[in-house]
This record gives sequence, structure tokens and C-alpha cells, in this order.
Amino acid sequence: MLDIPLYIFLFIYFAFLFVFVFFSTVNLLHMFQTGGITLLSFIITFVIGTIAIYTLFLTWYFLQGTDWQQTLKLFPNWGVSSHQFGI
Amino acid sequence: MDFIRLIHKKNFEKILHITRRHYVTFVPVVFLFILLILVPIGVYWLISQLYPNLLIQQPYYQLLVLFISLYYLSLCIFFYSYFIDFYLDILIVTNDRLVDIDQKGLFARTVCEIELYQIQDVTSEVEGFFPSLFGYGNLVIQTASAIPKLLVHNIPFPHSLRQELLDLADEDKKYHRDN
Repeated sequence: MLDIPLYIFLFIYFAFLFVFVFFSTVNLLHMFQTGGITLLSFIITFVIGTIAIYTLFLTWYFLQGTDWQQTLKLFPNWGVSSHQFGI
Repeated sequence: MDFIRLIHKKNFEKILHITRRHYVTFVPVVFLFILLILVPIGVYWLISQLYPNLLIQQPYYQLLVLFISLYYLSLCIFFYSYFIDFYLDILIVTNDRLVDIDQKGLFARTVCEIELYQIQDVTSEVEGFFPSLFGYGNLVIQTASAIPKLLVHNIPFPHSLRQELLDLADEDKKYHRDN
């Protein structure tokens, strides 16, 4: 049996969030440096920003109160000796 | 930074055109984005029908929420990066030169500059149903510079821009001949 604590997944999620923030910043810098601030680019940035913030809010909302110490049990039959299968 | 700094505009130079790819060419990506947004809703419905207990079991529920969150954030970043790639391909025409900025992904950009008097021939192409309907197409510029051929894809009104480029090139050639 392989037990993976749930907080490991949370750390992976935070690592992804770091990448997300990095790429968003690079995108915005490109936009500012190339003089691309127009109504269309503002609307797209606003829509994408809203979706991203709403996603983060809903993630926090659905996961508040989670016990991150609980474990995910993978391969529950690992380590079980053969006599337990009646062989 | 604005276009003046981007192209290092000379004192006598006037920016005549700033052209981007036609907006219609971005519409399929928007539809794909909307479709991909709807995918988790469909998957959620499917799982709730097939394995109704799976979504309420403690660790799986949290993992599902994290996964869906990752999916939507990835979608946002891919879509926005694609938009930047699309939107920052710019053709700038001044009374002295033509600057083609080609954004390739997030970390590569090609800036190509051609003096107007070096333009030898300009060809405009509008091919297909949607390009004919919305009036966009390609521009092929042949030059006597180090860049013999420049291709500009999906720009609005390529025929009128071709004519204008040829007129500007003639004027610039006259200027360089006389001085």
C-alpha cells in the first residue's frame, strides 16, 4: 500500500500557481512593452483575469476546512502477503 | 513603451499604418476555448452518473477540485499566451520604412525592417471563403534588401495596402534618386 499525504498535492498546486503567475507576468509585460494596450486587449485580459480569479476563489471555497494531513491510499493490495489471498 | 520607442522612430518619420492580423482569424481559438471550458462540466456530469460515490469520498473530492482548478488555470494561460502571440504580430508602415514584428511564442520575437525604396514588388492574395467575406489575406513583399521576400499573413485589406506600399515605395525611390 502506498500512502500519499494530501498536502503533497497542495504543494504541487502551489508550484503550478507560481508558474501561472510567472507566465501571466511575462504576457502582461509583453503587452505593455509592445504598446498593445487597446480595447480588445483590455477586454481579453479582463475576461481571462476574471476567469482565473474566479477559479482561484472557487478552489479556495470548495477546499476550505480540508484536512491536508489525510492520505490518499494507492495500490491497497501492495504488501499484503500471499496467504491472505488463500494461496 | 509605445510604437515610437519600439521601432526607434526617426525625427522625420510618420507612422502611416499599424496593422495586425485580422480579428476573424482569432475567432476559432475563442470557440475552442469556450468548448474546453465546458469539458469539465461534461466530465463531472458523466462521473456523477457512473460513480456517484466517488465525488463525495474525502481525498478524491479534494483531488478533483485541485485538478479542475489546474485545468482552468492552464486553459487561461494557454489562451492568453496564444492571444499575445496573435496580437503582437504587427506590421508598421511609415513614410520611410516597413517594420514587421513577429512574435513567436512568449520568448522569441523577430523584428524585420525594410526601407521603402528597397521594395521591388508587392503581391496581395485573398483566397478562400472567409478571407473573401471578411476582406483579409496575405501580402508578399519582394525587396532588394537582405530579406528578399517578406510574407505577412492574414492582414485586413491587403489589396489597398499593396497599392499604398507601391505608391510609398515610388515616392521614396524618387526621394533617394534626387538626393
